[in-house]
Amino acid sequence: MKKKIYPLLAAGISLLLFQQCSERFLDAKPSTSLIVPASLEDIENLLDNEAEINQSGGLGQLSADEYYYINKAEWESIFSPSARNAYTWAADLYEGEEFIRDWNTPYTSIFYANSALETLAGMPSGERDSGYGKYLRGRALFIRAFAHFDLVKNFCTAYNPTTVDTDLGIPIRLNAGMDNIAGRSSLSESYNVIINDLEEALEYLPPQFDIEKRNRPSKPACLALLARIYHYMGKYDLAEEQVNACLALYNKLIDYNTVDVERVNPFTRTNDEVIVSISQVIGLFSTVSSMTNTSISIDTVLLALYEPDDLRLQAFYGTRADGYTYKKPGYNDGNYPFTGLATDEMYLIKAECQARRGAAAESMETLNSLLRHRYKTGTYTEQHTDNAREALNSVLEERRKELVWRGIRWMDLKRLNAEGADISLKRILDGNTYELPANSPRWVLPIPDTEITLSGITQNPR
Amino acid sequence: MKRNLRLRTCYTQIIRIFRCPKPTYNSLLAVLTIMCLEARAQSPEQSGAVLSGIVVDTIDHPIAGATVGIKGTSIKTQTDSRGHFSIRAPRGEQLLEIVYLGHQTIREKIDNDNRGPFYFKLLPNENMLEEVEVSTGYQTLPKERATGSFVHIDTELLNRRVSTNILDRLDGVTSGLAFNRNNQVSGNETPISIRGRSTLFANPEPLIILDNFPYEGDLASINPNDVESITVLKDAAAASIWGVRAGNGVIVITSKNGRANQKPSIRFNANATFSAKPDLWYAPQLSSAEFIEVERFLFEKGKYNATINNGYGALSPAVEIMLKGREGKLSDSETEAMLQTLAGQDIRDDLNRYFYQNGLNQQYQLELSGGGVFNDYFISGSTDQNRSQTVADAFHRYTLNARNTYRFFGDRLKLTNGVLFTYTSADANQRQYRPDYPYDRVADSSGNALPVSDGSLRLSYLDALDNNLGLLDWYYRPLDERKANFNNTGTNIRVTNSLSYSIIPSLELSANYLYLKAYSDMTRYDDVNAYYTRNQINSLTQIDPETGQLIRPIPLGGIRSVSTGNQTGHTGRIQASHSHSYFSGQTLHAILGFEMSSSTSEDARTTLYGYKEETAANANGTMNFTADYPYFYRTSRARIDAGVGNSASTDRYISYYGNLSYSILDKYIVSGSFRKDESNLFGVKSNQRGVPLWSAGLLYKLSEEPFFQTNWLPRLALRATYGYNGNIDKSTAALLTARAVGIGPQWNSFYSTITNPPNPSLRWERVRNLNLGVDFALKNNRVDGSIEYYIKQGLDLIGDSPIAPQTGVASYRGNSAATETKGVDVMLNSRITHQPEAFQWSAAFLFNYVRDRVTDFKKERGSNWDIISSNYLNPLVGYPYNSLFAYRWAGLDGEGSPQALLDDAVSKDYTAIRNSTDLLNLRFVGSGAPTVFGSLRNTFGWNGLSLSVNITYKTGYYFRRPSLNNSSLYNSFSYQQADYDRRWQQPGDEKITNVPALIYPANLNRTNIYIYSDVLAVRGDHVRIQDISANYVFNTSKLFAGTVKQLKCYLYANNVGIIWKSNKAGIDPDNRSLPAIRTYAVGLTASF
Repeated sequence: MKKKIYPLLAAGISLLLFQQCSERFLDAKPSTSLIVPASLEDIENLLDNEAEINQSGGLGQLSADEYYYINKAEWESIFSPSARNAYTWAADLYEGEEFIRDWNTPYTSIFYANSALETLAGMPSGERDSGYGKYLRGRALFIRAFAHFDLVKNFCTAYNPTTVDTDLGIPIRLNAGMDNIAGRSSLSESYNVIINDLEEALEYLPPQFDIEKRNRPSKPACLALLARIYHYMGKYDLAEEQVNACLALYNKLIDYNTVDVERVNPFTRTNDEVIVSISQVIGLFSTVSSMTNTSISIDTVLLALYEPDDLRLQAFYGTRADGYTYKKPGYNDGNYPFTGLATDEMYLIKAECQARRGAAAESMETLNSLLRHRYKTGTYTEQHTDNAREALNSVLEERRKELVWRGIRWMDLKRLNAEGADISLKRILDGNTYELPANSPRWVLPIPDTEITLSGITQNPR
Repeated sequence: MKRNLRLRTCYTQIIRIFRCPKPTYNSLLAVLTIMCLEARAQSPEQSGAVLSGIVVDTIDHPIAGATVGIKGTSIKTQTDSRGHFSIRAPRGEQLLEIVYLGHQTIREKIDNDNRGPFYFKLLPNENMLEEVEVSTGYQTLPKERATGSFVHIDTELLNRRVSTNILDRLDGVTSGLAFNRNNQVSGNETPISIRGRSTLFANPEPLIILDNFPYEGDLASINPNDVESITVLKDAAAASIWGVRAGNGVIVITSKNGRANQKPSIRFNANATFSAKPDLWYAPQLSSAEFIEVERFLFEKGKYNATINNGYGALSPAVEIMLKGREGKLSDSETEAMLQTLAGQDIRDDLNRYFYQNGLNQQYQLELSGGGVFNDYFISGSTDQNRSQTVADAFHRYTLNARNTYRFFGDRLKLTNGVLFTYTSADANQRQYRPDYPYDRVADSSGNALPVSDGSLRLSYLDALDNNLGLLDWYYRPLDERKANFNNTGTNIRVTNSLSYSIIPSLELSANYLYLKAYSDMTRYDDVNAYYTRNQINSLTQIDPETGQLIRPIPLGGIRSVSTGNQTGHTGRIQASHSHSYFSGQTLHAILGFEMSSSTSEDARTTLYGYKEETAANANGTMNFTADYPYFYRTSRARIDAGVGNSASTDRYISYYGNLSYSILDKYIVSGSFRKDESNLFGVKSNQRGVPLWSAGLLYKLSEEPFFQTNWLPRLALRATYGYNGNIDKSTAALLTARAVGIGPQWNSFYSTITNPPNPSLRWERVRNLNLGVDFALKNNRVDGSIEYYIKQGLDLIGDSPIAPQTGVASYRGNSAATETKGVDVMLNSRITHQPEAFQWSAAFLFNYVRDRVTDFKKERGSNWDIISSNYLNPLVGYPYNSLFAYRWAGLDGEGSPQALLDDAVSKDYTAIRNSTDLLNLRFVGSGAPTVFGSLRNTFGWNGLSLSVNITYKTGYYFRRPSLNNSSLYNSFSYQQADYDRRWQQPGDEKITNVPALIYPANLNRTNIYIYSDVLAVRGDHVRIQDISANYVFNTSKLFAGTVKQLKCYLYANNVGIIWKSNKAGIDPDNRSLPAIRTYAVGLTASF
């Protein structure tokens, strides 16, 4: 009897062995390029995705007052409805356009960041809590905060401390899951999440950065973004605190006398002033600024602010054959404008904060240290004043001249109007006048139609 | 206990047979089980006399494999390779029955006094219906014993049509098979579908089986002349043996084979198919004069200013003239005269003259087949030489096919091997000239090449370039660019081996193995004289400001890019087949098997710059692929595409399957099947890798019942089956999945892109099938046919659904949908007159009704615009997958603006109409795919002459008629548009036209309200004469004194013409942009 069991036993064992084999057989990857992110390196590769991360919206830029269309025909011939309508602040901004990068791209960055955070959370604690693991956590938090803030500045009203708890914020996304659709948070909640993310990221990110990989955030980048956010919120004391911490870690400025300002691309994307590199989603050449695109020109009022010895005139602008002025690529050397964080902006924030708290002399000293690097050697006249108001005006004017086409002017206009500056914008096209009054709801971009139909969140009044 | 004893007894028997001490595979266990069951059922036969005999065909060749049986009993045997049989018949008077495929059954009364030897001559069957054998790829079975839904297409029907592609031969003759030509545009279309659609976003194509194994290569590699027959498996019982790959139905292709005891035979087949140039004037477009009118309007509006001012951007010849007029370089009258000349030109004249030719396809095939006692063979060689109607495009195919079968131990051991070698080569001009303007000219009156704009550079910019700079000639002259610059070759080697062994007559073990190797090379070569190469080199050329020397980042020489693919496949199968009668009149047929398959493919791409053809040398080593070079003519920069890459993929399956049918008195047949497939699905837990699927079926031959004996209805059978097939989508994963892209150009870091957000509940798709059928034949087979009703339910279907952009993904895939397809397939054959040696007329009628609808789609649906414009991404519950939705048109207003109904009120709020989510603001026009289709084929014969005409019809569907698109006319200057002359131009026009006035700048929503309104939805119904086939079979006995066995010549005309269509717009619904091209073929077949 016992003997007769063996064959069956053998069959049983071989069946088990076969099961094991077949499982290994089916473990083969269907495609070599597919990855289920599991290692820290996989996470880093996600966060290094250039096309989806380190991007910011461009419709605010197109709504601001740094350029104009030379006539109505040129404006009418613009292909993209949103690019055309942003110029006149039309109530129906998108006019049927489907894919609105100003909204979609930041949320894609957030999805990447959340995916990275969730993958990290599922890893063994040894790896997760290693230096490299924490560093990646810091990077993901920075990316999420940057994207959330980019949405806040475009799709929400300017910060107003009295209404911030009831003003509408943006949908805040803190996980990568597809099934939960977030409603609009309050504006104060939006800011809290952004600042919390950055404060946590500060703990993990290194004080120095790889100068060849300026797409990766660092401690200075976190501090610079916090400074920009507090500055936009009008919390100048907090902004100054952050900006000082940032400049203590990194404060290099480029002396424009060492730059070949005649070149079409005077700067590289790894130039000394860049703290973290971000690109605007709307290209320079395709829509708004190029040597050969004659439809638009740089605002003449802005151009008139520069003195002849100011090297920025040549470094930033060129003159076309027809006499109009175009904008050269800036701190990004290619088609997509630089909207990242750089030391020049930090100096200007610092100077403004100093002026705002009445330290006019200190403010002017900060401003001079920047401007000395912008004028032909020996031609710059140092600015001095004891009048805080005067100092502030100087700083605000220099902000306009320095941070051209960096996506900052629109923020500044919203912030200044919130403080009561009462700045209205006006466009004239062949005798037709379009106006954006200081108190208009059209300072806030409408949320794309696709988002409204699919998630049912509240639309901005327009 | 008694049972166990038997088990052991028979177990030891097997061990002896195998001479192996320990069986190792579980499939063997299964075999054991069957054998033991069988052993148990064996009962002593009634003793009787042994009869013997021989079975031959009409020319006295022995027939091997004919079934010889005693009617009413389970006693059966088969003739051996010499046509011999011997059988022990019970005592008393009996009916001996000899059955052989394709031949009339012989029934002979016998008694024990006459033991033979008998001599039976089988006559070929003129009505194939009863004896048809269908193949599932795992087994062949007589169609009359099948419970499932099979369609069998025999050699004759396949060869009725002359074509290069095998699948074309199924068109119009296969019940339930739809050819989807120009259905409403969808994202995941399939060229053919069996019984409608039961998936949304997974693979919608039927599985193709070639000689028992799935065929994954290019269908163009299959030579139709090597095909013996095709079986289409439509329902669960037929197809579920293919498991997860059978969800869309299965097409089983069986190649020709040699036959035992057959003299060597040579068959030769040759044919040529002719076609004329396509009619370029078929699709409407703006006339040259009308287009100039549009350009003048846009020119005056300043639309071209940005391009004009950049100095280099492409301008049309008309705009260049207008510009010269504006700049005063031409007087008004000169300008008008030049525009007048342009208006008289039509580029279609040039296209027709220089870019199209008459097509000619040639096909030659030579076969050798035969067989002896111990082996049979089939060898064929063929070639196809196709010249396309487009100049420079051509296709060549060479195939070599050899199949051998060897039999040992009195047919008990059978070894078959087949080698199929195919080589295909396709030439094409990949940078075909597509005119940007209706008045372009590519040649002057004496035929010399003229330059035209390539769409990016302006001719006047090129004219103004200093010749002394040393740039390469920068003009684009389409006439000089007509040669093939793209070649795609494919080499396929497919080796099949099969070994089968009958351990005992009722049990056969077989092992099958397929080896597949396929190579493909896609070579794109633009020599240094090609415009593409010259433009690439010039675009990045720089002039050194000091020396004036040219700096060329792309070196002089041709540009050659090669993509190679290399596919290797292995499939192994072990199968046990069992066939036995247990009790009187009850027979079990069963198969049980196990299969493993692995297919890997690798692709690599390389690009060589500065390529010199003579030496095959290249200059890549001198180049920098990471520098950003400025363009010669504009300020932006570009990188040179390194053009290299590689990737690999692996497909693996493990499957277990079984199939049985149990027949009682040949009257009731029950069938069942199961299959479990497991695959290397990515990112799922191992228990989610597989899915078990099953089917069950019943066949009741009512006409075999004693109470149902009528003369007029000799055959009536009822069938019912139920079960599941599956479908697989490997692009989806349950876990977060990313794809490694490589090193980014900006930051030089490796990076990856997320391709799939996590989806923890991912499952396989399943298709639930119910099939009910009736088979019948009237007296003398005057009319026979079948009627089938089916319901297919797609369950757990993968759905791509729009999702709020705040999630960070544009759309989301998951098991979110379900569909239901109901239909009727009717097949009728009638022999209207059938007298041998006289006039014969038969007709075959196919009628297919299919109606599908989406029954579940969980994700939030988008706006009405999403539903209208991309319904395939936004299916609506209750409506077909391929639905035509439209805005509710409300006519033009007094200014020629389109209006549509919004909340039952006439509205011009285009954004609100677009964004509305209220379905009342939409109109469901109908299905976008035919819901009724079929054919009527009449065949006439007289003496050796036969003529067959196939009329096909499609009804019950709609399509969107193209009309004037304001946005594409003004934004992309597209002149290929209809209805320009019917647009609203002045008040009052709104009463006579629906075509809106053109407005500038165009408003996309306003444009789309018209383009997607119901006023442009038209019925697709039509009837056409698909083809006519005629052949004449010579009476060879008189002609060549018997050396030629058969001589046949044939004529064939395809796409003969539309007889009736319901749309008034003159559009052939199957061929909307180019008309169907009528082809004529002539051919000859001879066998010796």
